[in-house]
Amino acid sequence: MAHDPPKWADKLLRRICREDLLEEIQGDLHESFYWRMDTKGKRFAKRQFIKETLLSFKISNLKPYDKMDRLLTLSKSHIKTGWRFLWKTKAYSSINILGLSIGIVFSWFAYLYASDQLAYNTHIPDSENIYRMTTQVSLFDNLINLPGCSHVTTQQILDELPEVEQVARFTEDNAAMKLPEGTIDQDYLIAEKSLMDFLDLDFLEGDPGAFNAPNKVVISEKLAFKLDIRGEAVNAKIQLLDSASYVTYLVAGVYRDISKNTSIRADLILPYVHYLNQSPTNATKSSNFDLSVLMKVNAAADIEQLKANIKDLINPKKTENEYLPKLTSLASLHLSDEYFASKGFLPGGNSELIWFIVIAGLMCLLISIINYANFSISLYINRAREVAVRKIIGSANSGVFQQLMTESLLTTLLATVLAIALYALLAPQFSLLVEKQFDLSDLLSLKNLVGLSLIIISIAILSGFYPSMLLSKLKILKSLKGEQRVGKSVLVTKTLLIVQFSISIIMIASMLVFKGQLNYLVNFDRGYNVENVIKINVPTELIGSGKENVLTNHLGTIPEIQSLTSSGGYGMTAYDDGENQFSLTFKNIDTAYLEVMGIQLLEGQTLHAAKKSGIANGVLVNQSFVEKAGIGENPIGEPIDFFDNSVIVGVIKDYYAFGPVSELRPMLFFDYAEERQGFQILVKSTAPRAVLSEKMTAAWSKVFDPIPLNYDYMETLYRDKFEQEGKISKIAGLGSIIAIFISAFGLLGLVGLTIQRKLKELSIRRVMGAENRQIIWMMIKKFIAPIITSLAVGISLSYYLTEQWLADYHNRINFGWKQGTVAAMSVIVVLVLIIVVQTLKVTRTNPVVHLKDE
Amino acid sequence: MNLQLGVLEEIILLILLAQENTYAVEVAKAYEEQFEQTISLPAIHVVLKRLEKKKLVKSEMGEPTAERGGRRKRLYKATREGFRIAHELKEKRSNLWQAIPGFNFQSI
Repeated sequence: MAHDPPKWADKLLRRICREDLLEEIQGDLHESFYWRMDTKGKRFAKRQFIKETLLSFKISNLKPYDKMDRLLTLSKSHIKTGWRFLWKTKAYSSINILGLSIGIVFSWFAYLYASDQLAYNTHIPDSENIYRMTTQVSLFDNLINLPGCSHVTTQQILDELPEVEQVARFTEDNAAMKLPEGTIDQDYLIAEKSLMDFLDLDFLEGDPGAFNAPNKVVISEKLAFKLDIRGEAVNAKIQLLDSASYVTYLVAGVYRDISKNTSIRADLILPYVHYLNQSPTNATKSSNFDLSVLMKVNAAADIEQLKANIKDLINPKKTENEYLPKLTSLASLHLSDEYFASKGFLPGGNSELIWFIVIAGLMCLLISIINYANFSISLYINRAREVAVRKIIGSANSGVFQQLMTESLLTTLLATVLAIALYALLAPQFSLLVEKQFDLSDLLSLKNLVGLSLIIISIAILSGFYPSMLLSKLKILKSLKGEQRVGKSVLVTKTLLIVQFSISIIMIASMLVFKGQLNYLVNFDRGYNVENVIKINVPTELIGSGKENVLTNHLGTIPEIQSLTSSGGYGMTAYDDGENQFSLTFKNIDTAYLEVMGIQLLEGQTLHAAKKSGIANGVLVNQSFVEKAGIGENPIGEPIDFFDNSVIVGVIKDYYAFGPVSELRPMLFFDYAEERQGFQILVKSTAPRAVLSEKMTAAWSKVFDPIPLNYDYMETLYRDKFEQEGKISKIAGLGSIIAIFISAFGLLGLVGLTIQRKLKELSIRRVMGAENRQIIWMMIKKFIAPIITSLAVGISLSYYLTEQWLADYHNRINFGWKQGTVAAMSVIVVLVLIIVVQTLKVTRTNPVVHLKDE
Repeated sequence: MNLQLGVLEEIILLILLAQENTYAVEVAKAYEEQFEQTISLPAIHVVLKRLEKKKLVKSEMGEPTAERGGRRKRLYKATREGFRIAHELKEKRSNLWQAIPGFNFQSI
């Protein structure tokens, strides 16, 4: 007949259906198939047939268990033989399983991390329509990002633009808080009620109401436990330090802890009115851009149009430097390239890091799958006879195939069990690396289980398919005589080997590049030296009362402190002398600054010396400034349009104030002791850290008690800047160790295979008097072609990949011979070592053993 | 006699009463002709088994035919009891129908 019912469905029915019912059910299904084909067409008939077959699997129709021989008893036998084989080749199988489980664990980690990062904020209802607004302003050649908008302007946006349905304004602060067992430094948000609606906070106790009263706060469940008021939290008292004294607040509600993958998280929220009261201008000034803003926009609104409207609102007068609004939806916020953390917004994710983790995970998995395939093929000499005997007894090719696939599934299953144990063992380390808590419960959540089982099943199929195909097609007689040729399998195993080698080379080479770049950055000659320099952070609200100078005096009396300087932060302004325009970085420094920072004065005199000689408004500039302003000939004494009558008194050597990642910038320094914005104190001391800490704390407490002292070592701050580079190089390091480890296992199998096949030849050569080194060289020769191919592939790919990554850096190393050679050598050394060991193992035995067979 | 019959059970019983010695595919054809919607064979199989258990139909194996690839079919036939139950149901239905006042629905 032209068209028959789908064969597989028919087969399935025959296999599972009870014999006494099979005839009538199958007959009916067939007959109705032809009838339906005539009346409703082939496609409908086929679909209906499959559906009806599946619907026929009712318990009353099923074969009794012991009669389902083809399916169950055979699987039982497959599993039994599979297990026996695994047990017989204990050493190989345990290596194999270990390799697989390492691959599985790393792909799991990669999967969990990536899926977690991609799902950031998406649990918030309507997250695609809630936007964060930031503002961008261009200052000649620099684009400056401002973290938000002002109270006045956002109110205007809400009132005048109908597509904006609601705004939530908030900011962040911190204060000392009293706990039952002492005080802690507590971060909190100052936010409008609408933020709680946006974040969909779930109140367990109480209710924020309109959240207007200044003395009411809401807290998270976690904080409620910390305060030991869970269950009776409503109207409980909380004490927060406000500049000098503790202020009491009443708890209005307790919300369920905000989910870990949310960009805005806090354990304590204060009402918005605190922001308006912080400074008299907060409620009236429209030109500040430091308030964090989220706005809920109508789903139908045109975002580009909305941006244009907002732009008109924030630029009431047409000026050259326009403020540009930026809108990013909450759903895409976390991994957006433009995202930056600011008050209330936690640091974002890193798409680069995700890529590295996913690629490293996939590569580890790929290597371990290739290993499995190579292992199975190399063990195939042992199995050729078993397969032949099976076939003689009557097994079909498909039977053998099923047997081998069952084994692959069994191996994968064992590897999975081991992988779960490894996961539990490694989860804390991994969590530390990516700064995200992972534990066993993440692995077992329903959503992840689906993804993870998919990984496992695809491993079983991928790794088992090829060897099973190969083995099931063996010729019986040839196998029994031991003459079975491996034929194409050599080509395939060699290709797999090349892939594996290339991956190992890529991993090692990129690890070296990442490590090299990190070292280069950390040890970069920045043009200044801050070893043993401590930066003391004075909170903004404490500055201006004159107390900071008292602190400086107290610190000056500590004998351990060699030198000390107070200065303002870095500021930025536009420089325009009519001919040259550029953005200028400036800093308000005192006399000791250059000395403490180890910055070199190239020509002219210091600000202090200039003042003594009667130049009141002297400034210092750096080399870049001289170059950009085009005053190279004789910069000293050159008047400059900064203050009234300011004049350049000295030129200092360029230094990388913002780290080697960015370019050198033109800079200017002046000394205006009356007001230093962004006040900071730098202290240089070689005294032991503990001693110094104690003395500084004493000095601090005399002035600012009870606020705790907060300081950092500049060198640590600098190193922290390269945290991400550090992470990537750590992951690459881990990946390359695993890659080389697993490929070494695979090689062990492959070399074993080659030697097994050449056993007779080797034995004859040895009988004829060949020496060990000749035999080893003979074996090595076989691997020369694949190793050269993989060197070429691996090194060119690693060059390409690392070049992509390095392109982001202004100051960088290059992929060079060093990295290439080390990667190549480590792979070659592993290969040679394994060949030598395996060959020597054979040459130790008596050659007669291998020759007396025939 | 308090035998419960489902709607599908009753329909199939009626089809069996109309055609003597019929089998599942014929039932499906008759059903689809009447109701103009597809019914799956396993559903019919289940109903036939259930009716047989209630002794409303009986069955025997038929002769092999070519369109079924030489397989035999199970032929079903309604019993006297089946007829009685179906008839009883019809009586009860028409009693109920008589109680429905026609005008109620004229206004709809």
